[in-house]
Amino acid sequence: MGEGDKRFHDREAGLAFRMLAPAVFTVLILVLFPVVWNVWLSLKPVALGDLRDPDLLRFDLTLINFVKVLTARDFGRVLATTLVYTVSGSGLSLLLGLMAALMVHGSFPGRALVRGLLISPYVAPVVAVTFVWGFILDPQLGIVNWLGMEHGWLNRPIPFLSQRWFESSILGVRFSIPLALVSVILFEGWRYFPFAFLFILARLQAVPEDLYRAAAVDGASPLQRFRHVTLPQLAPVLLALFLFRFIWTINKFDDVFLLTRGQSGTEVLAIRVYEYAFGEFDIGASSATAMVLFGIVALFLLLMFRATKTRTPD
Amino acid sequence: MAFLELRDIEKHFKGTTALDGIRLDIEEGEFCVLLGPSGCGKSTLLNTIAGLVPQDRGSVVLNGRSMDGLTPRDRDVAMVFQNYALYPHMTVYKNLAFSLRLRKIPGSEINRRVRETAHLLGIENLLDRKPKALSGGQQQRVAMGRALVRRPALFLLDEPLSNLDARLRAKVRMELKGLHETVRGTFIYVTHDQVEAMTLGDKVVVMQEGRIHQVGTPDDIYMSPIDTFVARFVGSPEMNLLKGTLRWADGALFFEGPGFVMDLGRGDVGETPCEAFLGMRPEDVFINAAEDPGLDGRIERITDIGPELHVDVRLGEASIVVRAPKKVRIQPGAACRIQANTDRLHLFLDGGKRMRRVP
Amino acid sequence: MSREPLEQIFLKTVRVSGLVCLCLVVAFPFYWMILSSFRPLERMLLAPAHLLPDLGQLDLHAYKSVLLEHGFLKTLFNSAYVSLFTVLLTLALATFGGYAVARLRFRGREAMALSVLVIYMFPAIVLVVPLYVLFSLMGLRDSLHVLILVYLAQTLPVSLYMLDNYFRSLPVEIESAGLVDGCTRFGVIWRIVIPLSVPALASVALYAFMIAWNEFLFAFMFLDTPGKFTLSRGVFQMADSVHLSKQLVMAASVIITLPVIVLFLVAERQLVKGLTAGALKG
Repeated sequence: MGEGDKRFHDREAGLAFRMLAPAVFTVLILVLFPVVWNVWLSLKPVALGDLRDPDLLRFDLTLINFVKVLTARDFGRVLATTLVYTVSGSGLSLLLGLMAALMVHGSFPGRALVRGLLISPYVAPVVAVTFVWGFILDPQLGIVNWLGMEHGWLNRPIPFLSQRWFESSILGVRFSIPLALVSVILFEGWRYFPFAFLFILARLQAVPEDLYRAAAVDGASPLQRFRHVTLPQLAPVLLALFLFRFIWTINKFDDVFLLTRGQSGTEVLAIRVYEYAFGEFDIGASSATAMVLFGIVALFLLLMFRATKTRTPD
Repeated sequence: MAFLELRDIEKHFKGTTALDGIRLDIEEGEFCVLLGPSGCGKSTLLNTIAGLVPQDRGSVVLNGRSMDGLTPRDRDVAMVFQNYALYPHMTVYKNLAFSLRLRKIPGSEINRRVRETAHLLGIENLLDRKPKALSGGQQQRVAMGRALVRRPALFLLDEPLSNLDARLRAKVRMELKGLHETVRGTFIYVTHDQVEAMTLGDKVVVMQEGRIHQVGTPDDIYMSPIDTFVARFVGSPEMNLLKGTLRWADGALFFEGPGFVMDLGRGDVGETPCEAFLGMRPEDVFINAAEDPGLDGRIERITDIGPELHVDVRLGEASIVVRAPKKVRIQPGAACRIQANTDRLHLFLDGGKRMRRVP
Repeated sequence: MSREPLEQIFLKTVRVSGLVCLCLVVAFPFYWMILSSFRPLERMLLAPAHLLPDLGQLDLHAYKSVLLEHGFLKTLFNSAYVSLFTVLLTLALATFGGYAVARLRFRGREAMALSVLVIYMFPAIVLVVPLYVLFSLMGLRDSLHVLILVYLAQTLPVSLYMLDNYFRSLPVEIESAGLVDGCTRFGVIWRIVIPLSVPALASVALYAFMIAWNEFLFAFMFLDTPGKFTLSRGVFQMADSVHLSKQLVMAASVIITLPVIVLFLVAERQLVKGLTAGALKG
């Protein structure tokens, strides 16, 4: 009486376990374990050479790494650079994605091809695109500088990716742009806008036609329809996209490293992690920096969560 | 020992009880219909018998074998689903052959059985098509065929006709009955449609809220409903049920309803006076002219449904429905007399259960 | 209402010109990459701004050189090997794992579905140093197989999520019919669910391929032996050597970029559906 169903449940659970185990196991070992280990390593003074040391497992935790990282002379600058890079990069990719989606929405001949073309920056390998960008912006061999010189817009070539500041003046007002950083941010926008583009486009296509018709009947012009119908519908997607892009951009190492190696004012925290580990061979400091990154992400998520929670009565 | 024995089956889902102590015997070769409103548990019961959903308590014994802990695969049960659930990526032939291939039956035998079944259902010309190229009726036959080709001990059918349009439904219903007689299998058929139940079933099981109210032949169910739920559920238009008091006076039984008193003739119902429900089927009530004998009534509304009239009549303070032949001459608003066939009246206790009337 | 038609025209012009500009900006780096791979450096320096190719003077020696003299044939093979196995293993593990979460009842099922996405938040940069240390200690670091494992950890969370979503959208009754007809659970998955999930599986395969083929950080950190390099690592190596002709590096870049782009142009529709399906429900 009822024994059968217990066996049924157990069998199903056992089957589920066997089906999931390989995947879970892989992720556990290769994701959760490193994260935990990272925490551990950040709390011990460890150098690259120490790694065979049995001392590694001793429970003598210390915050010395965090002190080193946070009180480093240029930590503030690196943090600021990271935040500027992250927010601007995400924002730019979102903006471009939005514009692209709005332009592609609706049918026109060759639409599928255009859509395919527009996702290529995201899909192409990072080493290839960073190399080409570097080449295009190169002061000696790059097409941008060559065209600028040829047509007289520039007096001398601009090393976009290796010059820290660009000074200029408009109408007598002098100002300086963080050149390399801006170049990297522009690259971010170019490379990641397809991600926003795809999601926004999908959401655009899901907006019920009736809303637009109702607004048109009410007397709204196209621009007004955009402001009052489209934008509110897109708001949740845009927010979610910004969230994701923020997290992914702040953790990005590849792009900055490949474009500038973190020089000329583009040093972000992710580069710092690498520098500590393989430049100074200080594993402890490297892990601590990674934890700081992680902490920023957690804080950001918390703030986002709070902000959206207050709006849930929708 | 019956062919299929269900004992004390219980099934609970989060917050609700789907099956509450089901006890049922089904004989071999029977066409058993589980009838009830949606949510009554009939589909859950079917899934339990099939082994798709394990019961929390209770046992299923098929042909002497306990089904405890057996997967659907090992139960020798075939099922026809409401939405047919044909395999979209397989041709009709492959759909029919699927279960046989799984049992490693040789190809020639599979071919023979598939063609035989296809012939029986009239779908031989569809064997190479895919489900999406078939009409609803054709898909339904393929679903039936998939079950038939296996010659299982038990056929389970979950509202197989509900997705067909009305005209097709009546036709297929008759074919199903013929099929059952040809194949001579044991069918358990789930439906909420009482017409299907009454025309198809050898045995009808009326269910509500996870409980069986009554088990019997269609005639039993119709003529002697065990409680007010069954009385109302079966029969169209619904049986008229009036609440009142039974009283014994002057050597006869009287029913004091809302605004009228009906003489029920002789008969003993036990302790009187008592609260009771009087049940009259619309066809057991007659409309007479105002001068004729009977209870006072007034015609409220006449609906001509084609072969007959459905008349709403005011009887005292209550309104009842009467089925009348078209030749009756009546007008809305007119006074009339109501007479009932006292042999065909039903009495139910205040709690709903049938009362026995001893003449 | 004279405002509306004017606005319409204005918007239409903006839209067309904007689209053209955007397409140019997007396409130009790729175009330049391909063009530069066919132009030796001397001609590059002479007139860098020849935007259009001189079809008569296309120089293919860069490709020959890269593939044969710089060992890129082996590198290409390594990338293909790693990508293929990442795709196959991802499909295998995510299909069964996704099915388990979607259909089977077990404790902690809801937690699983959620945690999958949470895992995705962990950045590679936090993982790379501990994994570097771990595999160095085990002496396994400089290995393509370890790389496959690491890529799996990156592809699995999203793949599990995507397939879990997709499987849930299939009608349960078809699987019930399979069970009643005599399939085991495995049989249901193999004979019924998988044939019906081809679009979703294709999306997962594309996604996994993209990650494995393009990945740089771990390939850079883990691989030491040039014979084991994947294309990302190989191209980086070439780009890093100052004396190497740009044309050669461009050719190498084209070699790594072309397969992915072509694959995506062909299957673009598929992937868009897969990536955005379910992710936009509120």
